[in-house]
Amino acid sequence: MSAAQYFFRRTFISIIVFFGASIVIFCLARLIPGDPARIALGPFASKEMVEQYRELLHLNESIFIQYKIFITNLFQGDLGISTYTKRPVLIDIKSYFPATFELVLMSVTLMVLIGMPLGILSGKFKDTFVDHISRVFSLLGVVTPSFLWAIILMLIFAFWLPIFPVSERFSETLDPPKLVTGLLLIDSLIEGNFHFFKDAVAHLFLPGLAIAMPAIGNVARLTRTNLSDIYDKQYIEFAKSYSFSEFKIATKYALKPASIPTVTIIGLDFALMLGNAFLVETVFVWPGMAKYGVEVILAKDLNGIVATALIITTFYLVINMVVDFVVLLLNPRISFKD
Amino acid sequence: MNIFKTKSFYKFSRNPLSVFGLIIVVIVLLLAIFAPYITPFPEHVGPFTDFANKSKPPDSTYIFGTDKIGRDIFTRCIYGYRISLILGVVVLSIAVPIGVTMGLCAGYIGKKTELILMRITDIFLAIPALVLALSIIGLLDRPNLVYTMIAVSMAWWPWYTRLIYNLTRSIKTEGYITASEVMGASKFHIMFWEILPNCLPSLLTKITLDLGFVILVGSSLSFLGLGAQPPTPDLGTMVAKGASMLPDTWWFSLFPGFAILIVVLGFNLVGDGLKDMFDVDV
Repeated sequence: MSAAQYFFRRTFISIIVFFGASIVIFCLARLIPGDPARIALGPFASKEMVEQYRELLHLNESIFIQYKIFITNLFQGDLGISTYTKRPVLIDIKSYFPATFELVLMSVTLMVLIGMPLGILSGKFKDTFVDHISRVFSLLGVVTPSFLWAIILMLIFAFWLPIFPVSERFSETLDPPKLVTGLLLIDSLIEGNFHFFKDAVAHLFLPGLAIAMPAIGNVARLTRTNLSDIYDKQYIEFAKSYSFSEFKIATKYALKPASIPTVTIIGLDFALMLGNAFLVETVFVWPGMAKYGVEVILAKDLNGIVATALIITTFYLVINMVVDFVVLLLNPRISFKD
Repeated sequence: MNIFKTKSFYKFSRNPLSVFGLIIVVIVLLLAIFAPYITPFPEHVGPFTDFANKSKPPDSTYIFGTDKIGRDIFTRCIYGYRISLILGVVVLSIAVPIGVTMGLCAGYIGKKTELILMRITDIFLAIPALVLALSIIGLLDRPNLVYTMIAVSMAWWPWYTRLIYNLTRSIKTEGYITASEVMGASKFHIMFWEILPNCLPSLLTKITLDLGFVILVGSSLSFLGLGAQPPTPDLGTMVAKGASMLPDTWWFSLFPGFAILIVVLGFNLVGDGLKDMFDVDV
C-alpha cells in the first residue's frame, strides 16, 4: 500500500468511526428512560408545552427518522437550539471550544518541552537524581487525579508564590483582542499586542501543566528507552566515526526517530488529556468546553450534551489521524498493515 | 498449595514497590471495612454540624482538620474509601463480564462476529471515557452514585473486549484448542473452559490496575458534581467543595485529594507487580 492509499484508508476509517460514534451518542440520548422534553422543561411545564417541545425535537418520529434528521442537520451546521442558553448550540460551541483547544495545545507543548528533555537527561545520567525524578514523575503522573495536580499547582504557584495568575483566560484589566480565531494567543499576535500575549501565556501555563502531568512521565520514560536503542544503532556509530559533533549527531540523526514515541503518546494520551481538561478547567474557572459541558449536563440540555460529546469525540479522532500521519512522516519504513 | 511459598509470589515480594502497594491496599481495605470502629467521629459522616469547631486547620484532635460545618475530614475520608471501593468493585463486576464475553465471542466464533463486535468496540473506544460517562450521567435523570456506576461501566467494558480478543486470537491457534474441537467440544465450552482460564493472569492484572483507575474516574465525576450527592462522604465531592475555597482552607481539598492518590497508587503498584509476576502485557 502506498502512502497516499494509507492516507485515504485512514481517513475513511475515521469517518466510519465518526458515524458510529454519532449513532452511539444519539442512541444514548434517545433511548435512556425518561422523556427528554419533560426533563428539559421541568416538572412544572404544562402538557401542551411538553407536547410542543416533543414536536420541535422530532421526538414523536421513529428513531431512524430522528437520526436522519439529526445527521442531515449536523452536516448543515445545525446542532439544534440549546435549552439552557437558548442559543443555537453551534454558536455556544464556537465560543467555548477555542478556549479548550488552546489549553490542550498548551499542554501538548508542555508535555513535549518537559517530557523529552527529561527523558534525554535521564538517559544520559542513568540511575542518578534526574533519572529518579523522571521515574517518580511517571509513576505519580498517572495515579494523581488531575484536579489534584491543578489544586496543588494553583496553591503553590499562584497563591503561596504568586508567580502565575489564579484563574480565567486573561486579566480583567486588559482588553481582549478582536476575535479572529478565538485563540487568544494567535489573536493577540495578529494585533501585535505582546503585552496581552504574555498575559494569556501566563494564564495558560498552570492549567496546561496540570493536564500535561500524567503524560510527561510517559514521554520521559519512552524517550529514555528509545534513545538508548537509537544510540546503539550502526548509523550513529557511523556518524561518530566521521567525527561529527555530538550536537550534530543528536539533532540530525537521533532526534527524528527519538520523537516518534512522543508523537505516538500524544495520540494515545489525548483522550485522557481531553477528559482531564474537563477537571482542570473546573478548578481554574476556564471558560471552555468543560464549563459548558457541565452546565448543559446539570441543566439536562439534550442538544447541548449530544453536541459536546460529539465535538470532543471528533476532536479526538482528528488528532489521532494527524498523529498517525506525523508518525508516517517521521518513520517512512512503517508497515501499512493497520 | 501455600501461595506464599510459590515462585511467583517470591518474584512479587522481591519488588519493594509492589509490596509497598500491597500494604497500602490492605490498609485501605481494613480502614474501609472497620471504619465505624477506627474513625474518631463516626457521627460526622451524615448531616452533622458543629459550628464551634468549623474550618479548623489540622491539629491533634482533627488530624486532617474540619470542614466548614465542623465535621472531621479524616473520618469522612475513611468513609469516602468505602464509597470509592464499592464503586470500583461494582463497576468492574458489570464491565468485566460484558467485555470478556464480547472479547471471547469476537476472537473465537468467526469472521462476521469479529467484524461486528470489534467495530462496536472501536466506536466506544473512540469516545473519550470520561466524556462518555459524563454524557450518560447527563442524560440520566439526576446524578447519584448508582448512575455513576452505570456510566463508568458503559465506558469501561471495551478495554476488556480488546484485551480478551487479542489473547483469544493467539490462544485459539494452540494445539489443545484444536484437540477439543476435534473431540467435539461446544463453542461455549471452548471459549469459557479452555480459552478463558488461560486469560486469567492478564485479566487479574488488568482488574487490579483498573480498580485504581475506576476509583480515579469515579472521583473525577463526583468532583464535577455528577456523583454521589451530599451528605454522602465522597472523596471527589469533598475535593470539589474545598477547591472553591482555596487558599485559606487548603486542607478541605488537599487531604481527600491525597486520599484518592494513595488508593490509586496502591492498586497501580500491585497491578505492576502482578504484571511482572505473571509476565503479561495488558
